[in-house]
Amino acid sequence: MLFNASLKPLFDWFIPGDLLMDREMRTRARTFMISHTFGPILGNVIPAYLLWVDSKDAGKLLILAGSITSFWAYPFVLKYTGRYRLLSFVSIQNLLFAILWGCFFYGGLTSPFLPWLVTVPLLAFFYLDASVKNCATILLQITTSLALFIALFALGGHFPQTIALADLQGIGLVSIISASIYVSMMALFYARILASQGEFEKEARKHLETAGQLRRAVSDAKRASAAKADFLAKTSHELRTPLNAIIGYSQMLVEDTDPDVDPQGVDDLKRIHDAGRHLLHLVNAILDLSKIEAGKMQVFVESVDVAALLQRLVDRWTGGRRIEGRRILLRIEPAAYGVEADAAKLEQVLDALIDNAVCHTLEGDVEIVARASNPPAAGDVVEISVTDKGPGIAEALVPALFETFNSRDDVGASRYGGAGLGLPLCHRLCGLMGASLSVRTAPGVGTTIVVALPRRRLERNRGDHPADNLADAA
Amino acid sequence: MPRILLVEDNEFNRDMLSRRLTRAGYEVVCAGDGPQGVHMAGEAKPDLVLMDVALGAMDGWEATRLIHATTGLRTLPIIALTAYALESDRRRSVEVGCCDFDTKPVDLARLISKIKRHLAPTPGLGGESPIAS
Repeated sequence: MLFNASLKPLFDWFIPGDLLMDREMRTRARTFMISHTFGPILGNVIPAYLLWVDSKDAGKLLILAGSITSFWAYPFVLKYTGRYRLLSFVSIQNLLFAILWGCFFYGGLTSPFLPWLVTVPLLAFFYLDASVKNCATILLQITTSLALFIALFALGGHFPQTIALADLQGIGLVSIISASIYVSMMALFYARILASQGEFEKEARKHLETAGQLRRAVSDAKRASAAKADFLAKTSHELRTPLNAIIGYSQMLVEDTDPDVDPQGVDDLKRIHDAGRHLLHLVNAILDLSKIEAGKMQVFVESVDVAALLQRLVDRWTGGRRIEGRRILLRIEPAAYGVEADAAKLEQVLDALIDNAVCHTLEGDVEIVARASNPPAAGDVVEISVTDKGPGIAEALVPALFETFNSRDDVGASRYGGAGLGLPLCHRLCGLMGASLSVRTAPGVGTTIVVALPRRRLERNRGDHPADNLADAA
Repeated sequence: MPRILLVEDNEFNRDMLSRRLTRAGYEVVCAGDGPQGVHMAGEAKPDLVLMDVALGAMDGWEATRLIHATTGLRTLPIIALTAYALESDRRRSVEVGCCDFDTKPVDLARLISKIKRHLAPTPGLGGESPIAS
């Protein structure tokens, strides 16, 4: 549109910044600009016609034309003073003056200028909002002006007949037409503003649509992620069957082979067997992670005896040949017995943590401590910490330990064995059980990984665990 | 010699487990799917059944239910074998009448200890004496 393309920037140049910032005031100021631009052109048609009809008393017409033309100065005054509201009242007063001046000298109560009075309230409420203060001011302006008009008439007893009434008949039509054009123009402009508000709403609807599309995209992505997890789960399952065959048959061959007859063969078979187990371990970790990501990992939280679980794990580790001379020290504080957890998953987590610690303690002991928060009421958690005297890592790298396939998987791979899936899996399993996993580490000092579990609730209510009661009382 | 029926659809697993159990001193008969397992239970009259849960059309739980319901072997001990240590699998196994539950890949020593426990003579059941424990 013409207005959008060329006039709007021109009009906005005149309008003070604070008005442009406000949507409603910007609209009003633009209406002010359009009426002050085109009003004088239409308004001056009448004095021009009158001058053409009768040029003998040009002084009165010049005052009229001057007051109409002065509207062109208002945008510049607005630009340099910024006094929009005051300027609006002055403009209304200017308009009243021009109309009543014309009426007084050219036809009185039958003057062709009279229809222009209609534009006064119309323009006033285009420029300003209909607050009580504005309404009162404008009403006061109109009544005062009309009172002055009538007072002048009463003083003289009649309206001065500057031009014969008969000569004004022609101008009546011109005046009404130009007033109509002017009012229509303003009305059209107002309609255009309403339409642009419709456009605004359309835009808002478009944004809502975009939001809907985004929501759909998110749900699509979630579905895709679930499908990916499902695929991984199925694939992992398919991988297990041949892996089990490799593990099982190599185990059988180890059992069948006499190490005295073929020691090299036994070693080779054991390597195949160990590699198969390691691979199975990784496949299981991937399967678990994908199940967690797909939201399909089932968790059964129940009361678990931490002491018995830890003892069983430590026995299994020290009983095997895996710790090779290093020791696992287990300390269980009296209050640290019962927790709320998924027994199988807690065992899986603790086994993985011991595995980590053993793998990274080339010399020295691995220390496992279970302790209840003291006093127990403060946190109601049982903390199980697994400490190794390994190389440790910088504190800044700790968060990367919990990411699967992180950008720093060199950290996970070198520090925590294999593909770095163990700790991320432990972290997620703990999250599922309502437990937390934290790491304290420093290079050259070692690493402590702490699992904090909620304490068993039933037992505290029933009070049937003497060890716990003893600790609670202490 | 106690007789064990192994119901397992995977050929490798069936072959391995049956050979290892044979070496451990058991007589092993095999079935490759659910219906065959139910049939063999009636025919071979085993002392214990090792039942893979994921068997295809008729799963191990259904086969377990059918063995107890149709072959007259109401007290026949059946140990369920699954790929995952899922709590829901364990519960389902108990629900359908399995006496125990173990996960694959099989830890032979652990499985044999479970087999021994369920083959132990129970008064009134007429269970055979297991190999020396």
